Amino acid sequence: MDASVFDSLMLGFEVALTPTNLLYSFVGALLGTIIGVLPGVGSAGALALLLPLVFKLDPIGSIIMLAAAYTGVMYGGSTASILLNVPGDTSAVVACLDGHQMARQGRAGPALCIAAIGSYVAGTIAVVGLMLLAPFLAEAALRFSSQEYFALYVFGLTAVAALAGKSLPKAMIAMALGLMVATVGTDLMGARRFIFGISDLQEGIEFLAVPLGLFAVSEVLINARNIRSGGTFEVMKHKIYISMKELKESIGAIFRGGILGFFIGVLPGAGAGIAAFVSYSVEVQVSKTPEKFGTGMIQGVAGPESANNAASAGAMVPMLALGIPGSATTAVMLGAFYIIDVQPGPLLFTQHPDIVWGLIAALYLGNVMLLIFNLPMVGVFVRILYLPMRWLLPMIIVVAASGVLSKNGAILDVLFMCGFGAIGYYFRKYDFPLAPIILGAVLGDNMEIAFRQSMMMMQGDIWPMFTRPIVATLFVMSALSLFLPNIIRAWSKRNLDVEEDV
Amino acid sequence: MGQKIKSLFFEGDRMIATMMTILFVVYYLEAENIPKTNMEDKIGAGAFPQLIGVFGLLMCACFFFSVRRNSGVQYEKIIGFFDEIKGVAILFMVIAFVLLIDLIGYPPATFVFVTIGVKFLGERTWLVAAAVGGVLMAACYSFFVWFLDITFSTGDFWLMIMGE
Repeated sequence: MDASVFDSLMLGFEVALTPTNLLYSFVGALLGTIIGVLPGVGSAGALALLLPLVFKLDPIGSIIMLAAAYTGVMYGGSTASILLNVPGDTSAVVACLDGHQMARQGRAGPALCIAAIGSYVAGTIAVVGLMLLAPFLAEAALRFSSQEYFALYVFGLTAVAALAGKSLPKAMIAMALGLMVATVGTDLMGARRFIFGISDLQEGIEFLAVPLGLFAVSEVLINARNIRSGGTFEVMKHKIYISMKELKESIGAIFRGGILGFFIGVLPGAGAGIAAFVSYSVEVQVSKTPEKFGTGMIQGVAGPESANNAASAGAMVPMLALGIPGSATTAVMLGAFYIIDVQPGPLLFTQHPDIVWGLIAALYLGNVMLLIFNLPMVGVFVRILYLPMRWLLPMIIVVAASGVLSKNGAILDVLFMCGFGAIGYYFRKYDFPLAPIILGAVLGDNMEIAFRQSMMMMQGDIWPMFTRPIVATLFVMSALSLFLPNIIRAWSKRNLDVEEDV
Repeated sequence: MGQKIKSLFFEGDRMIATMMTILFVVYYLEAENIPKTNMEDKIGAGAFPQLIGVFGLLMCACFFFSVRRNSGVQYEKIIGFFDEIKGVAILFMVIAFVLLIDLIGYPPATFVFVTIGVKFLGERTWLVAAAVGGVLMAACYSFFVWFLDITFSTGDFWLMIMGE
């Protein structure tokens, strides 16, 4: 490691480790976790809520608190996903897939533990990446034009293969539904589409209504039906802590998720949600038992949880090095910098080393704080699952509806949540996967913008796009990730059949 | 023949695929009617949705080709129509809850919904159901309204009573 970078990091830790700043970090991580557990607020909302404190606290302390809150929100979102199947944010949706299945098997404790440990390790990876690669990566990310982004989103969509379960066409149909959802509302040129005269739809369908309806409401409907049909719920004894075996199984996923998440986070607009989906897809592809994903595989929690945490640190790269916020959350963070009269950009590292390295150290400390108070809290969180199902189900509905209402205060959004709840109920009943709908809804909007900007730049001709090296590479990777696993599976099956015949 | 068509398009998971096919066709036709807004915009606002529509229809076709006759049927036998209604009933309660928020405001609507919901799901006494409703109302109110400073509807009913 370069000596000057190491010295700067030490300066950052000196700043962050003062008792007052440690307290700010603790308070930030705690508030972030609490806010993150509830749906609707999200990381940008949580930071915006804490923004007024920047006026009152000392500049470095307030930035440290915001950084710790950011890491806390990312962790808190997964807690609700794992325990109740209620995703608080896009990045927490993936935790529903295997995390909630683990909770249903009495393994909520290990799922929460691995989310905390994964977040910590990935946070560490991201901080190392941030201090070593920030200026270089920020410049590289700026070379991504709309064509490269379009290819990246296509690559993101191929994660559908990992989410497909038993039937790829079913997953593709679900993904197309998600893409449809993303096209509702006013487009980038001001054209109104699919709003049918409803003015509330001009801004599109509120995204939060989609995952909450599909996962939380449909979960409630299925359980309510079972209760009303005379089904009984066994009160399961939950394991609180993770075993060494589970930890060993997760290490690879954590490192893969951490590295991947960081690099995806660096790209402006890509975000933690995409990082989590891509990480899940990678875990399915590298697994020896891909068919078990979605049934409670710990790697399905470890990888995406690490990825979304690393992505949140990666998103700091363009903000710190170039002054460009890559997400809503870093835009709020940028606002905090302006409040304390600091201009992020290439000169930030030389003009305000205490603030920038203090922030980097605070991101790391935030993860340490999360680990310190969340591991002991796992037992407390898990106790939620001991509540009778007849109490828990209406609570889930109220929390989900409050979360959606808190966004815009529009009743229509909650009605959409109910509609997606019904869709989720019937999709689950007939074995259509739900996660591809979210994947389509997350990527659809940005993908269309990138596609249309590309078409404008290329005068309506799509072929020049394929002559760009990054685009071509991403398309080849997309094709491989979509078809290669199936080809390999078919090939090994054929070989097995031939061997059996012999 | 009629039985075959019914089996291919209207049973189990194929019913969902049929409905999705109809949705994709309607979506595609609607997208075709979206006008271009700008000369710079070579492909127009409807192009991307049209692509999605075509993609969705292709996937539905793939599904029908790959469909296996027995998928979804076993589940149908286990869960009967009346059990289905019992499950979906809570969805109507949620819709009523949402409308109630507009009418009587967030805290009372939360209390009413949770109390009735808990009783509907098998709580023996109304008293316990009301206690759960009260606790959750207080928790949600203190977090969302007091701590996060989010404004929810206070209810048209109370405004009407107070003559506002």
